[in-house]
Amino acid sequence: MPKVTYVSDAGEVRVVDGLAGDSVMQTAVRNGVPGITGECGGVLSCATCHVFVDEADLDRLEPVSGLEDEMLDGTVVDRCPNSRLSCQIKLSEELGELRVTTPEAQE
Amino acid sequence: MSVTHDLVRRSATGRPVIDFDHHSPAYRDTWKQLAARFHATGSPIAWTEHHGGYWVVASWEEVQRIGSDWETFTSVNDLTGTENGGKGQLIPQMPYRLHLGESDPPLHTERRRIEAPFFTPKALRQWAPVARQFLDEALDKVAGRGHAELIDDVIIPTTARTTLYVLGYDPDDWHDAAYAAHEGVYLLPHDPRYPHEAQARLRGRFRDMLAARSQTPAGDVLSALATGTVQGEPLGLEVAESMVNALVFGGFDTTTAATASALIHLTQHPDQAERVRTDAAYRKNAIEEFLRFWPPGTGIARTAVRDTEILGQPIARGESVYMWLAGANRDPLKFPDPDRLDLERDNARDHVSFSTGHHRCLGSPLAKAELDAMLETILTRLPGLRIDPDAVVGYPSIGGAHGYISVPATFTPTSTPTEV
Repeated sequence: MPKVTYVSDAGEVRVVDGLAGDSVMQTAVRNGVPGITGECGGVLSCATCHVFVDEADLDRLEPVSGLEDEMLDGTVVDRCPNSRLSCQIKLSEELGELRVTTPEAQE
Repeated sequence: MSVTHDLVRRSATGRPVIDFDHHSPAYRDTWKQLAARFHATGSPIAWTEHHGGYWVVASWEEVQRIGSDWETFTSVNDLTGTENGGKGQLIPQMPYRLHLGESDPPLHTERRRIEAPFFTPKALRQWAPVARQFLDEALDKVAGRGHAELIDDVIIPTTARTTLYVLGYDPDDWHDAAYAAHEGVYLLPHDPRYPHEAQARLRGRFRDMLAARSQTPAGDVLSALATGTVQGEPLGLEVAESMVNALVFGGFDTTTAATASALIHLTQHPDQAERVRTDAAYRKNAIEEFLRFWPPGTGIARTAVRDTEILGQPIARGESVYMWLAGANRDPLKFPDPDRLDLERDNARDHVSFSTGHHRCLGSPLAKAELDAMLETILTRLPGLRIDPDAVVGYPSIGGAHGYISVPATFTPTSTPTEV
């Protein structure tokens, strides 16, 4: 079963079992993980599901699309090289476990 | 039980049929009871014969699905009959096309991405202080008077000027633009007062500005549209103008309506008003609940492009489906005790007042930032604010927007407002 570790800006850790096919954003919202808003529901129009992906996991993800890249320029906490919009990271058995850190704010 | 049976009857072919017309005075006067009764049937989907016939859907879950499944439920307004037969987002169908709203992915995605950077959380850091400044300027003019027309004196000068500022339109030349849009929302096109000429002037001005910005871009929305490309081709003046119109005509009267609905309620409930004024976290959730309870936009349409079903009810290809957003916001399966306004409701922000899916309101962050500024500041700078509910004049039809023509208010005058 895919598993996501969410680390808050203050260092609090939440480990959540996810479902293959769900996104990292959906998994957070459904499980009440703070620090991810997901205002638009996952259609790349709000930039409120910003996460920093653990460096060790970064290369295992699908590459950033052009639209995701544009929206990452609009996050309220400035993007970093390991920034992603978590609605675009789909969980799968192959991906397995993933570790992300949420920013100080999303809006 | 019989009340419920009266609401939805079976046609000869077994279809559930409801007498529903979101543009009617009956809808305006009874929509809350209508929503409760529709949900009480246990299957909130039914066909109405008005405006050529359409399905009305009030299930929150199904509205989510319809909004997301653009491959089944198109937004296209296929006026030439050469695309997919879609009838657009508005009921009755409009004789012109809303080029952003009435398109589907991937074309819609490409058009929308031209405007999207202007409404991100980062962009809002730039616009929120602008809205607050326009609001303060409007309040400066009335604070010493002790009375104001909230719509005309305070709220429209804030929302219209902010929208026009973001667009790149001279925000000091806002009055004609604002009223061309505001009056166009609540007057019917055959009304002698309908602002046909003002709207034509405004559209001409938008075209001129787009042409100018294509030569000399200035970093604003107009420039982005004037120079934007879609699938490798220029966006084009017709589509650009349509997108400007959508921002202006859809952009601020809705925010105006939501602000007025909230203030009318809060002046009847001083304890809630004081918490809204002083507690930012409470205010944030209260805004979501106000939007759930009194959504400015009543609903939005799709057309089925293949045979499908909703809540087990067969829907034929070519039939219109009305996502009744105001009804979905009162789905008891999603919002327990939905007819109770609960400013601390846990899931208030799950409302669909901004619609849902790919067409979800682009300006929603700006709308919420303006609502936040207005509720806090109006309640602070107009102490003792009172609105007589009997003096409030709402729109004659709320099928387009649940808005107000007039919201007169009194308050304790404060001197030298500029020193506040």
